Amino acid sequence: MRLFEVLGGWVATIPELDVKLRLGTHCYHHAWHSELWHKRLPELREMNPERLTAPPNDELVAFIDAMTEPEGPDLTIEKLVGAYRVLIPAKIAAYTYHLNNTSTITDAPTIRSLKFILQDELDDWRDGEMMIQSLIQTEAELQRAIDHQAMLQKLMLAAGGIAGPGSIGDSYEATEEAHA
Amino acid sequence: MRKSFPVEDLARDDRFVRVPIIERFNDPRTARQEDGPKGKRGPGRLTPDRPDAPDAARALMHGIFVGEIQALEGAGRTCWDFEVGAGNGEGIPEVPFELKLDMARQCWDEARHCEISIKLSGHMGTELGEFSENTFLYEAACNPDPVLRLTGVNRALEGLAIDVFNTMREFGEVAGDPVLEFCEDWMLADEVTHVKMGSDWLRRLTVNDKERQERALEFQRVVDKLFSLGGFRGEEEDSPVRLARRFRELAGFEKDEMDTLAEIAREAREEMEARVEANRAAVAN
Amino acid sequence: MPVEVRPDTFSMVSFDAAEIRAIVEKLVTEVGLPDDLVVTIEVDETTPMGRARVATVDPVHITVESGALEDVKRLRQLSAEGTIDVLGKLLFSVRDRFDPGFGTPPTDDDLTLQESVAWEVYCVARLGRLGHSVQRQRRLYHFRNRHGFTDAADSAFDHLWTVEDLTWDDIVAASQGALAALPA
Repeated sequence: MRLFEVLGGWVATIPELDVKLRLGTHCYHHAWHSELWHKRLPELREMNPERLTAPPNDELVAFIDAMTEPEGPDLTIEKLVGAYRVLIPAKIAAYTYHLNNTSTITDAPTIRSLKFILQDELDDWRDGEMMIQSLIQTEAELQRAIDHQAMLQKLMLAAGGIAGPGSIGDSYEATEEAHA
Repeated sequence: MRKSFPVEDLARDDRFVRVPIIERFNDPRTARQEDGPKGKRGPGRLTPDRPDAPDAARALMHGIFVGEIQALEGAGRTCWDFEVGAGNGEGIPEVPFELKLDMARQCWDEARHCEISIKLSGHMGTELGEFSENTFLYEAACNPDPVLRLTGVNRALEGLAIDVFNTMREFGEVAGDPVLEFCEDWMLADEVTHVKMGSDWLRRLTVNDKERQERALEFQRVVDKLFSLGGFRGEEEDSPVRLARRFRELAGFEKDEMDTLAEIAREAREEMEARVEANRAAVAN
Repeated sequence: MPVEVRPDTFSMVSFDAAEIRAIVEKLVTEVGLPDDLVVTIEVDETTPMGRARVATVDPVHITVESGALEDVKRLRQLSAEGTIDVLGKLLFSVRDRFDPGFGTPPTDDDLTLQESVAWEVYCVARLGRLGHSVQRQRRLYHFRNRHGFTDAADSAFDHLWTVEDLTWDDIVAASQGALAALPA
């Protein structure tokens, strides 16, 4: 939800016309995803969707605040890096982990939504990466992208992933247990 | 990022130049409609027999294009500016989750309209930023009350879009331009949806608050008058843009609303004519 | 070179008569009109509309509404590029009228919209070949609006746009050929 909100809010702040239009389209994609989950959660006997849409920890709140903070017209690179090089890849990883680890029979509706959503996420990731690459023309701009990504990536690391620790499981721990 | 984004900060690349609408209102020159050897000329209805019709269509299309950008920006800001909540008008501004989803959908539609407008500009030989931009459309989307914002944008602004797109669609049809006709028809369908969104949310969010509803409808009337642009939109034969009653009816406008709008347009035209006369007298003196 | 711009000073718009005169003097030479040709440009600054026409050919008297010379992005300011575009194509039409080999077109008031636009294409194309900005796609759109959105119309446009030394009869033939392809 925060992603679609910030993409919509950024449209007015971005001078590059192609980026402005593309964010409008992506805003809807992620809004639709949040709508799918908003409908699915009550079906999982979670009668209080707000409980499962609350952030997993304060660290993720700090990440979202940092990612949504850039506003100036000269910060398009930072805006796009936050969304397309940090948040969306983290979502793709978490969604894919969930897709691979849930029951294909009993949780089929979730899987169906995940597949639709992942298709959008991958398409949007590609669009975002192309926009970022088109904007980075100098070493200074490249350094801006690197610095901003590093800052946000550390916040995401502290949060443990977009759903907190365990967002993409822990295959190394599972391996150790299996060989104990 | 701020929870309110002022019009002065709207981001544009350097192709775009803004002309404040007050400058146009203060122009001492008079645009008259008159008969010419090749048909009527002047700021009248956009028909192919006007000698200046192609360039008038190009200018109007560019106006549509920058309007679509501002509509996209306005819908996007509504996704961000308000928190999710009951939207009952008490305390900090809140909107229902479903309203944000509708605004996100509108973002998609308006982005698509921008792309269509860009392609149409290429078809008509217009460069992006060839004409100046007025930002009063976005200014209507800056209202801090989400109900007034949606009423001003989705009912007034998108209602104007219905009138303008219908005019352009008819122009394309009569001129034999299949590209223009096709594109305007598709955009017109989306605008009907947007107006219905505005009507639905106005009703739902003010069902228990008639005072808020009346404030919203008054704001809509103010915006409608501004968008009538001194007779630019009306029901007179020479109005450049005609009120599209049939499509407005599909979008949920009542007959008396449309009658009121026609009256507002007439008032706007009369006020503009009086202002022009006053400007001319001032210059002559 | 006797080029006069009226009025000398403007009150409703911020035009500079001397700037307009300089543009016209240069155009007269580029277009190939006689240096001693008397040219008067009369600007109606009371209206923002954009009509421009050749009132008389000898002497040349062009009447133009202020909107025709205005920068559309800077209200009431002169557009040098727009002035070249509007007055340049009119001066080419004047040159054609002086050319006995061109033929005898009707007066401007007696031209049909289609004939007027077809001739305009020929004039603007030559202005473009002098190095001025002329917006080909815009002219094509104008031409299509008067002659149909058809392959025949596009072909006629290309002919008018690219060929030198056309006569009035050539222009009329191109126009009528495009119109003949319109569905009944």
